[in-house]
Amino acid sequence: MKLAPGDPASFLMDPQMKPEAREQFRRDWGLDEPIPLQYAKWLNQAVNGNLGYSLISHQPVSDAIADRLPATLLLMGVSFALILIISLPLGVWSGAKKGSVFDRITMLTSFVGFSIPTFWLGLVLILIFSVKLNWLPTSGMQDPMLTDAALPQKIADIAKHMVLPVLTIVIGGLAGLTRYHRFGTIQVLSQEYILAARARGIPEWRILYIHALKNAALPLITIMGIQLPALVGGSFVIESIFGWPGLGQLGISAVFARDYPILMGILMMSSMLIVVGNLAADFCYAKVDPRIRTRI
Amino acid sequence: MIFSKRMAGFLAAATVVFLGLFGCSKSNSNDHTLTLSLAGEPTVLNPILSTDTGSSTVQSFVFNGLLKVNENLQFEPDLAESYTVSSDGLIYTFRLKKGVKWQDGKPFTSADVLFTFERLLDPKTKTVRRSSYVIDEVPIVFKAPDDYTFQATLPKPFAPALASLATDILPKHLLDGQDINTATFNRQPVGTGPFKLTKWQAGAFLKLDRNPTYFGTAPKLNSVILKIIPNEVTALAAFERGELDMVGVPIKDIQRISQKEKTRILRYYPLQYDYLSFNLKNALFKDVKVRKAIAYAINKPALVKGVLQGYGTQVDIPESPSMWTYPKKLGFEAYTYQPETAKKLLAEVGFKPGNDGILVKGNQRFEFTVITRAGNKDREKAAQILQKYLADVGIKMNIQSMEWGAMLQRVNAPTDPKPFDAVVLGWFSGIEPDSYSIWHSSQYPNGFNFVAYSNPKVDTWLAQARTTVDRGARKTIYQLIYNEIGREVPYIFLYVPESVTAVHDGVTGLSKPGPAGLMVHIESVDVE
Repeated sequence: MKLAPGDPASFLMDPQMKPEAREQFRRDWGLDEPIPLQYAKWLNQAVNGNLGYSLISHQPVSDAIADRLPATLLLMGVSFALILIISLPLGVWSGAKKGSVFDRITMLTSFVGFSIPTFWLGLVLILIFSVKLNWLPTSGMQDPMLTDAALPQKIADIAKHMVLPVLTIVIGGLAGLTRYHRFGTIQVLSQEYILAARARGIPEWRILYIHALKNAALPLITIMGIQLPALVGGSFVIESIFGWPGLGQLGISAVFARDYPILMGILMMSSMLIVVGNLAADFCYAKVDPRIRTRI
Repeated sequence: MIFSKRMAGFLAAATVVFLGLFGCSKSNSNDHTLTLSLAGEPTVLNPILSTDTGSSTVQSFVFNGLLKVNENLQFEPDLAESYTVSSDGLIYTFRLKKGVKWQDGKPFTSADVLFTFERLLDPKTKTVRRSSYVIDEVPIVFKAPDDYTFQATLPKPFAPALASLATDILPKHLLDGQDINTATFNRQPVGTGPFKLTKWQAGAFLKLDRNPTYFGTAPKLNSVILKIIPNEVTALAAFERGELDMVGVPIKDIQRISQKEKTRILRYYPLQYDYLSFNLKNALFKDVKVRKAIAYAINKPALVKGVLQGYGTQVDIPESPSMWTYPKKLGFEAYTYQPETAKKLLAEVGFKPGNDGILVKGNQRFEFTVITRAGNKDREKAAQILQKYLADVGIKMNIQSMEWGAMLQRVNAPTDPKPFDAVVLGWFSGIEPDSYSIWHSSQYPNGFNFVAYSNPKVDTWLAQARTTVDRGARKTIYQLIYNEIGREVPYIFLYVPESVTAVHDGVTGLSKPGPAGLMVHIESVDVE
């Protein structure tokens, strides 16, 4: 991180500012100390629950992160849930009807969605639904005039602001999971117990949704575990296009401003979430798959 | 394509359902609320600490300085009723207005002014502004003889000091005894200004409401909302949909936006100029003849047209036409587009075309790399056009776009020589024309004279202009500086891009467009 050229002081390009001022800034914030020493200081504070102060806003890092976390959780949580809800039937059905017209259309559209650059899609959606049709707000999370409104009105307002960013994320994220489900279904359907079930005359829908689905959904747990940090980290592109007040925006402005404490805070949180995510995935596996349970 | 149509149909249907569920309420804008956008979250709402545009925008509504800048970029009383400067130019005495109240109701006195300047000088304050109050290593001495008088004594005459003394004033009673760097005040500021901050939703927006106890004319607006929209395309869309009352317009969109109904376009030259500058320690650029040749090789009017589509003006000196020191007529013959003269000058210096057409002198090829900020489309485009003009006279210029931080590290490297050949960059300035830090030979390699320009005459004038308080006399000195630098072309001065703002017709009472902004008279601004 510190290998990125420059530091916050180097951005002070004001002709009315003397070079001493930049040096003094470095001294004030301890940026002139050796990197291992800076790290040791940070670590010492961090284990005591103090993530330090932003070099730019002088705000406690934990406050800055806490301010932004809910917005990101909401946006990513809803998007992720929608992706799951849509991709599961889509993937399973495509897998069951491998090679059918439905399968081909699904695969093609999900690929188109996957390959469209997010920033472009986001802007096109804004142009269509906000500017041309005037249905939805362009950006932000709430209408500033409605922040003190009654709860239902407030929820409706936030929901309206969420439609476009969620749509953008869902279109981009659908392809991956749909393909996982499709592949999982194809694999499971070729197994002997399915053949046995068919031989017993169990209806096809039952085979698909009761017998096959459970097993086909197993890899999903791993993917969820991996996705957890992304859920919290947020998406820089989406958040910046839609002016969504989340962690992605905070992180990216910290990168450009070389706001090390904020970056360390966000990094530490996402590393912790990777660990938590993987742990949670392992536990879920044990719950769902008896073969793994026996080995614990 | 059939699939995308299906998809679009699906999306539209889904959206309709969604809207049906939640209803379609649109907030009424006819409540005297002005909605603007900020490109970035304000960092710290404390005028002596902040360095970003977002914060200074908010501060301009919340705080007052002793003086303020009017539309003609001259100082006018604000918290001060009047001020005098002693005949030796050393003592500035401010008479403060009586009856001014902080937004929490406490009275404003000279103690607050003194407190603000003491914090600025306090080494514990993490401010980058301290050096503005220290002249040749000696700090300015501040005194508050009585509740409504404030005095600053300079160690020697220093004209730029007035702009520094005009800085926004902080309330002593809310900050005394606290660590000013981390005080909660910095996110809940209390000023004397026409608006007070009532809501700050991190990353989303700030809401300012009219301050009923404001000492000046009461504003017509009830509130000002500043929405944080990092993406400029989104901000423009928000303006088109009526979510914003005003918005900065990128050049490529000006044509389209100006054709919109009920929208007017306001334009002015900001205090900024863009340039191509050379590392004068590089053997290629040492000779003034070579730099003149490059100046003759460039068609500036065409460049302004190509990069800015005409929304800008060419400059031949290091200053924007909006600055009060800008001359009516240049005191030297500006370099115009004469590629033949350029070639002749280069031949005089000993450069001859090599086998590939690139000029060679001995074993030195005329090839160099210009660095510019990645993502700054205008400057990247300017670099490409410059590249073509230079190729026409046999000079090979490579372009390297760099991330801002990485680029600044090269330009500001405290080494001699610095690790770059040339840069395309711009300078923004405040209303103070003092450019000592850019051109004085002492400002290399530590300082902003990163090209290593050194001219004893300019050094003398720069120092002289700082100690001359009379505006007319200062102007004469700066024009000498502009002529000398314009002739010697350590930079090729390129253009001043216009600042273009689109405004909905409902917004009234804006001031004459200029570097002081559109809301010099904030009290008369209204939204109908």
